[in-house]
Amino acid sequence: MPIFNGFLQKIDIAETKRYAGLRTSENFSDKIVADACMAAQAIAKPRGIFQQCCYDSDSCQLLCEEPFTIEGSKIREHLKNSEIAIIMAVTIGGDIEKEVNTLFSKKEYSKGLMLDAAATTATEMIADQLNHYIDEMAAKHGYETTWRYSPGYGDWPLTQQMNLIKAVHADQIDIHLTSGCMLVPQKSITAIIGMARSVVESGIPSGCRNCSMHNTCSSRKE
Amino acid sequence: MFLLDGAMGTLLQQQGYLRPGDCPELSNIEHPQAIENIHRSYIKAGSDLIQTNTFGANRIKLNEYGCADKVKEICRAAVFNAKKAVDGTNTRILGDMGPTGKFIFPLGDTDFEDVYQAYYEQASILAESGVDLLLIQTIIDIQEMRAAILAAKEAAPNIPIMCEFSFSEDGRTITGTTPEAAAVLLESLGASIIGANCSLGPDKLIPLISRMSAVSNLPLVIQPNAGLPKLIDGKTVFPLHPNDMAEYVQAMVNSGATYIGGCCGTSPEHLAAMRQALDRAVPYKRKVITPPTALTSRTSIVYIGEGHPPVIIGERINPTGRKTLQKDLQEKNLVPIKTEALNQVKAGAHLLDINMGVPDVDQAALMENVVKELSMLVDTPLIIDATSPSVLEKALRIYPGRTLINSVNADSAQMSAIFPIAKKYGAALLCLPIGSKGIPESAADRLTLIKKIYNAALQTGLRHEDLLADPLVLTAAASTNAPKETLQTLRTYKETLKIPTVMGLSNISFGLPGRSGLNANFLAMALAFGLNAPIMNPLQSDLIDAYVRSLLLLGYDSAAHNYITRFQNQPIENQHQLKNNETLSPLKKIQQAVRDGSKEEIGSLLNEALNAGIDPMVITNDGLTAAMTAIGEEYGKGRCYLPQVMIAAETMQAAFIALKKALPGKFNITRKGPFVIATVKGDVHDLGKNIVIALLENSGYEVIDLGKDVSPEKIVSAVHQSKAPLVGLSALMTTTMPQIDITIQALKKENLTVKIIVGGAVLTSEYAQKAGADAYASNATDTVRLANILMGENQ
Repeated sequence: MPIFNGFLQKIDIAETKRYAGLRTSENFSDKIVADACMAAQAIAKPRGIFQQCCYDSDSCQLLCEEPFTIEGSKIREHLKNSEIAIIMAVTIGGDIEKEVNTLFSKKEYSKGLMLDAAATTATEMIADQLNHYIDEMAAKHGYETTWRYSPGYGDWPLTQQMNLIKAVHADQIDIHLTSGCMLVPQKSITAIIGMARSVVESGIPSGCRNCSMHNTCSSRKE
Repeated sequence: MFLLDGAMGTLLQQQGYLRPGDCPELSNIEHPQAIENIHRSYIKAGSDLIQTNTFGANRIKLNEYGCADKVKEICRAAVFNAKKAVDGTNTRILGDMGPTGKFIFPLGDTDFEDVYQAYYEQASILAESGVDLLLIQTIIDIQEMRAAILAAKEAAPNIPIMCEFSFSEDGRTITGTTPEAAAVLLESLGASIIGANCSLGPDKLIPLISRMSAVSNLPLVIQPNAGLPKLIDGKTVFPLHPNDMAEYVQAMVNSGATYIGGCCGTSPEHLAAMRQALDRAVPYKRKVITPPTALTSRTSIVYIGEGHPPVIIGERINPTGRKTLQKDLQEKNLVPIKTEALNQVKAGAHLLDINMGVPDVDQAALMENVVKELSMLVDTPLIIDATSPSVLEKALRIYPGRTLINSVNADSAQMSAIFPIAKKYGAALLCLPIGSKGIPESAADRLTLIKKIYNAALQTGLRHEDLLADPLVLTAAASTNAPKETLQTLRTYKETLKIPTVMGLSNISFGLPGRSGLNANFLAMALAFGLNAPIMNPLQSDLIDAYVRSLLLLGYDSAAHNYITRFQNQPIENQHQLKNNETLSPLKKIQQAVRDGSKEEIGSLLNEALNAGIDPMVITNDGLTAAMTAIGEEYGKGRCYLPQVMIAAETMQAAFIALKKALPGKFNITRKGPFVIATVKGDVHDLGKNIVIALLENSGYEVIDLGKDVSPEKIVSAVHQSKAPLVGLSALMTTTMPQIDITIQALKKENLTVKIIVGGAVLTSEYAQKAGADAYASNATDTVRLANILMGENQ
């Protein structure tokens, strides 16, 4: 199971503001956000793991060690032309969420909130780095890649998280699942990336417009 | 100009010797004639050098095919096959070493030493089998390249090494190394020929070779792919045909390359066309450059010296005299040191000095660990501040770039210990003019000692561009002439030696008052006398002021851009600036302060209100609580944001502390509740819950926080024991929502008179009602409002 941990040389301030629920950036001090990003960098321990498997788009089976059928019409549409699937898991470790709790218990609420948002940004960054590596490897062999899709997106049942983390051996980077299918540490991401000759417009472009939380999410981009 | 060869694997596949999943290197043993024939076809096409079929023949890569134990057999056979093909020709043999396929810790989980050993094994077998050069190619991460070159130099010291990185479209390797950083590092490590191969077609690769030629005079090699591949009918197809590749040959020559070949997608036909083009090509007169003195990290390069602006070396990562930092490091807590690094970089440091002189620890192991962590954390190159050979060995071995050793003095024993380490790892060296007779006072004497070190260094094979000099800084408190002498030394070095200068600034003010101002003045003077890199504290803004001013005055700041950016009048960053409106009543001012999150001002505003005779409870209810409620409503309407609510809550806390202090024993907020709160079983999200707790406590509730992933039984028991009138349950996902129902059932079964509020992104008021909750809270401020209503208060 190849390991690629990535590195956090900076955490994007604008993205952190977005995750903190600050949709527009004018009236909020950048310093608090910048400090949170720096604190997140110092505490985070990025780790990543991935696995290449064959994908049978007819039966929608992921042919990993313990093959399973991918459920959900939207994810199936997304992977329609894929011959190979790369499954991945990343985390920035559990120390940050502990620090967030500590800040809240010390009544440093805004710091805690910002650190949590910076941690989310950091996790996405590590996922982006691993994603970039996968894209490059695929391109070398002439494949195009789909955007990364996680359990819970669209109608991909969260319960398949169990199959996914088993297939990618996420326990090797200390990621586990609760009885409620939630990833621990919280700041972790699992996803699947399809490799195809040509990635057809799946009708589900990435972006906020197509998410079921479109109307209520405070982190919405558009 | 020399022609290399093209792809091997594709030909083996085409000829039917290789099926998908087969180990290409095993063909050396299983189909030696086929390998020999492919070599011959390239020689016939005109190749001056051929690569042995050993790209993946290192122990780690071969392990993927289950033949890790066949390294020797495969490599020997490969060279044997190549030798048979070149027999009777002038073609030379490149012993090919490709990637292991693994990332090295901390980027991956493979140990540097394991990779080193694998390459050592491969290089020694290739060398003893008789290759003419070793080729390390298609490398995407700098650590792997370092392991390979170090191993190759050790295993085969007399064999020239050709090194090629693989770059992506953005002009960096996948892990971020630029062509300039690559070239400087490779040359310092002793590569003979440097360049790039694979991943890109000629059009994208050529500019990267040109960039290398701007920082190195070493011969350059380029081996592009035949364009970017596409998948057609299940096969990977490269678009550039032989004549297409040939058309790029002149451009390849003009980039400065004298070794030209092809990688994936090329064939003997491609190389034959390129041979013809090469024979016709107009040779390129490459500009001889003065090799720069430069330090690199994995992802960046910093030039020091003549023609480059002075650069700041951050001095803060040094535990001398800092008890807390020493303790942290002894306990292996690296968070403070990482924060220190980030702060310095943010403040403008271009390089970071790393000193791990902590008592009672294994300093070599600590330095190694810190270098590993910091080299991942910041873009900024690191400087290793140590003189102990064991510490230097550990640090330099693992540093993913070209570093500077701070420092070596004129003592023969120290020089003979440190020079070889610097040479081996390609490090630059800071020379200190201190010898057996102590610290020389005059500039002339210091120059003599530097010359001694310089000459001795060159004798051991170190180069002019590896050496930097320190003029020595002594405190102005101890000697009237010392500062002048330092400046004179800088001038003397500049005129005579022409190597970059580095000095520790802070010493100048040791033992004197007004240190930072004195440091700033001396910095400006030293920069005028030619100092290239001060070691200083970048967190002192008046030092950075002095630096920015000096750079403007010395002509390094065109259009005064940086100066203006730093010194123009910035609007005061104070969103929480109190509207100093005299007509606002004290209560209104307090409300405003909460609204704006003015934690600093709230104390004095409360005193003002108390002095005006306003009752503390009125202040609390009509000043503070009213403001929090108002901001909560605005948040609910989407007119302000959660962080602002949080800062307001912190201001409330500051207010309570101030009131308690002003009225000792007399000020108490009535404790409402208790309010038991938990995130349900299987759910671990707690940020929302924490925010609710913050606001509840602000409103005077005693909160019993059971945490996350809490079983129904535990919640029931807590409510029972505390006799809490209120309980809050949160769930974030559809998969944990059912636990809300289960927990509510469990509570109802016990016949407790507790009111249940539920919340969480996935919940709705319909669901809450169906589940039997007493209220549904759509956000944190809503929770407080509902709690008050359920407790019978009017809101």
